[in-house]
Amino acid sequence: MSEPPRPSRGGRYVLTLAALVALTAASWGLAQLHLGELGPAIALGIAAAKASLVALLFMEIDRYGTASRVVAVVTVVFIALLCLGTGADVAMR
Amino acid sequence: MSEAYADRASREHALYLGMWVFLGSETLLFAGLFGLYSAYRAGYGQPFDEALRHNEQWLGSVNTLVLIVSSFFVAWAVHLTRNDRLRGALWSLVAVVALGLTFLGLKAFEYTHHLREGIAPGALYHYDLLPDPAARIFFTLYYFMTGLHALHVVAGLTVMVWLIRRIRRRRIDAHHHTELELGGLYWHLVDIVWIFLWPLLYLTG
Amino acid sequence: MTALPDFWRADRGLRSWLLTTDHKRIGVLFFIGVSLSLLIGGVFALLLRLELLTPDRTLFSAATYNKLFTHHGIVMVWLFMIPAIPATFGNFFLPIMIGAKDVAFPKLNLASFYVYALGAIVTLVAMIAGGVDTGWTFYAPYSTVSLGRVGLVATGVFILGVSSILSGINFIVTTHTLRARGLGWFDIPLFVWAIYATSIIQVLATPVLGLSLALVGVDHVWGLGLFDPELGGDPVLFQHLFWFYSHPAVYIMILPAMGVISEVVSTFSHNPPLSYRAIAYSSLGIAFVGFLTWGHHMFVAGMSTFDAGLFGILSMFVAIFSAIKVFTWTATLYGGRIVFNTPLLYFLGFAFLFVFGGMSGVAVATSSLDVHWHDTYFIVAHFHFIMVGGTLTGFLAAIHYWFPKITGRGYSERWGLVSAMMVTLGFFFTFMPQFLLGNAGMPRRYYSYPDRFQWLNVLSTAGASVLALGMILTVGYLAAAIFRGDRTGANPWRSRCFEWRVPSPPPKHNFAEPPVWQIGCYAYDVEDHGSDDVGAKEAAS
Repeated sequence: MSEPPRPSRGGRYVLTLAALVALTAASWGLAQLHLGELGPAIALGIAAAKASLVALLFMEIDRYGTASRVVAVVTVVFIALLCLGTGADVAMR
Repeated sequence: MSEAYADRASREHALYLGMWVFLGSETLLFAGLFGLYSAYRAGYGQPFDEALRHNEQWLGSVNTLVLIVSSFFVAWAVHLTRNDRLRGALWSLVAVVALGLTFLGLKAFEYTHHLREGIAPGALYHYDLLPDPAARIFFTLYYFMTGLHALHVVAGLTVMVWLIRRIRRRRIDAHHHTELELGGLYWHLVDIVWIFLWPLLYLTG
Repeated sequence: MTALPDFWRADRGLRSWLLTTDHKRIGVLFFIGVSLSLLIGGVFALLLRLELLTPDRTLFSAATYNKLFTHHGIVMVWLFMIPAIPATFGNFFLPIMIGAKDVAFPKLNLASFYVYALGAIVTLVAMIAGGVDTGWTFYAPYSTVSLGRVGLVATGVFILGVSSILSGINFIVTTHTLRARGLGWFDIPLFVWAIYATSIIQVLATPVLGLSLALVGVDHVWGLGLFDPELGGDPVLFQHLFWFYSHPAVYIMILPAMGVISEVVSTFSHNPPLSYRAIAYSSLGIAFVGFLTWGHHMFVAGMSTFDAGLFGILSMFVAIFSAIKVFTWTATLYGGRIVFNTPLLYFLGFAFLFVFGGMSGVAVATSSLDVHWHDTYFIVAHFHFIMVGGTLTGFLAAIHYWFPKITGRGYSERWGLVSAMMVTLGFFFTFMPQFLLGNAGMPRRYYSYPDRFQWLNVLSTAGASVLALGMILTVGYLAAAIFRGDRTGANPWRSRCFEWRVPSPPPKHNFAEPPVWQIGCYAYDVEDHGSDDVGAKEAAS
């Protein structure tokens, strides 16, 4: 992690930015189509893709070892757990 | 330097691990709000969505782009620092601060606009065009979620300013920039949280 | 070899204590904090039990009574139980047990103490400045309209939560990165696994508490209305958020006690654990599955029957991991050279009380039964059996186990036996009647009750008095031992565990040089020639 810095290529950051902007535009565009029940699911799916890009290419999560990846996965799982538990309660009443 | 670590590499590894655990913790702070959102959306359905549609999409979308670009500049600052291009890194961070302030400015504009219409959180809500309690709940959640996020933006900007000062004092260079990477990780999390807030609060009505 | 000064003497003066970054001194500071908190929480409990001596008003008004049980809960849960073992003994021993000089972030460690102190002060000030009467659970909608100091108490507990998260981060990073050379994950003492698993829960669950309290506080002060039916809110959702933290919180409270028990059982039977991995993995199992069960606090709250069924089943699973531990501990004793010092006596108390409490937990996890027991004294008895019978007993076991290591002195085993018996019996007679009361229908948090419940209440109060006396006695003989106890060597219990290989008390940086241990921490097969110095065996091997 603190080995002498190798000249890193900057191109990947620019490409990631382009991808993020594109996905944002796509998300906005799809929202205009009013896809009903699927709308939120698609929007969240795109958001997950964008978040993954930020985590992998901006945060470079794979540089930091297993622990960081475990933290990321566990965090997502727990948020999902809380949302499902409360959402299911209300939905099933 | 900590007594416990024998060398810098080990200490850095520990700092990164600590930062990731901290980021996990910070993310879970928002978990309850996402949970409330899920439950209320499931419970209220249509009138909740209707309130959602009242949010200005262009404002939310511009803010999303602002944060994405700011995230790019953070990564760019780290990249330049690794390549010993410290002046460029400094200006990248300045760009981050400018974009962060823009984000906050747009949010302030948005809040003011809402408040003038009578859209306030909780008991203060009095927007007659959307009288359903679902709308009041939606906007209360909106204020709390974006407000909590904005607090994190402010914290992140404070970190950025501190990093700018450290670069200017030459405490950061190609070989020593752990704090830049750590601060960068925090900012990216702030971006990621908004990436999820945006569709939930602006798009999916 | 010149002996290094021990950590008590290494630096002198108040400033050296208030600005210390030595994990051992920070552990001592926390010990003072949690002990004071235990005393305050205990006083609230005694006042409650005094009030309940008669069916109607005894000493206090109903309004005051409501504040008493609320304050008792808040102080016991957040000022005492959550930090009791991790912040004191975890802080003191985790680095030593993995062969490290200190934790990963010593300054952060000191900060977490001051944040704890600040949170405790704010909470206590709120109690003095009017207090709260919502119950420690702050349920909406009452927490919104209550005239008490809800916002201020919520702030205090929020701050305490921050301290918990900081400690958790520190211990996780320490365990990952500072293990001595040659010490793999399955070579470390089981107490370390317990603290590690606890820390994971702390960092993941506490933020949700923070948010819940922030919502309640803002609601109370500014009318946020997210849980107020009049403003479109759903009060049950608060319970979801609150219990998402507070159920895992009970595992924060019990896992460290289990870690202590693991050490005590091996040391005092001179046997390795029957299955090291069973204990290690079950600690992680409890930490994870504990997050899946929160809805069992809400069976009668108006939750959907779907959720009720789901949470009931999931709650049963978590008992499996506790059972694995209890069976493993019991089997560890078998065939061992058992010595009945005070720590082992506390294990015996723990074994009985925790199992009893745990079984009552399986009973209340059954939602069809819980509809009768919920919000009665049955529940109160259940969680006190675990919290007092489990955590407090574990805390007392830890004090008596590690007293010689921390102070370099021994205490009177005779008084230890007397106190252990008083605490265990006193506890039993405090809370066993409450199972009967709850089953007969006496609701919890009620100020008055039908005459026919009086004799059980009187019995409970009598038990509480004996328990209190036992605790006071403990303070007495331990305080005497600090000043006049016989000096002990490094390893009076002839344990194999790593902390017994440093002097009693340990020097400031624990080790003169980074240790490389050849003999494992449960290697009771290594011949014991009567020397208490495993270090010598190390050198000889």
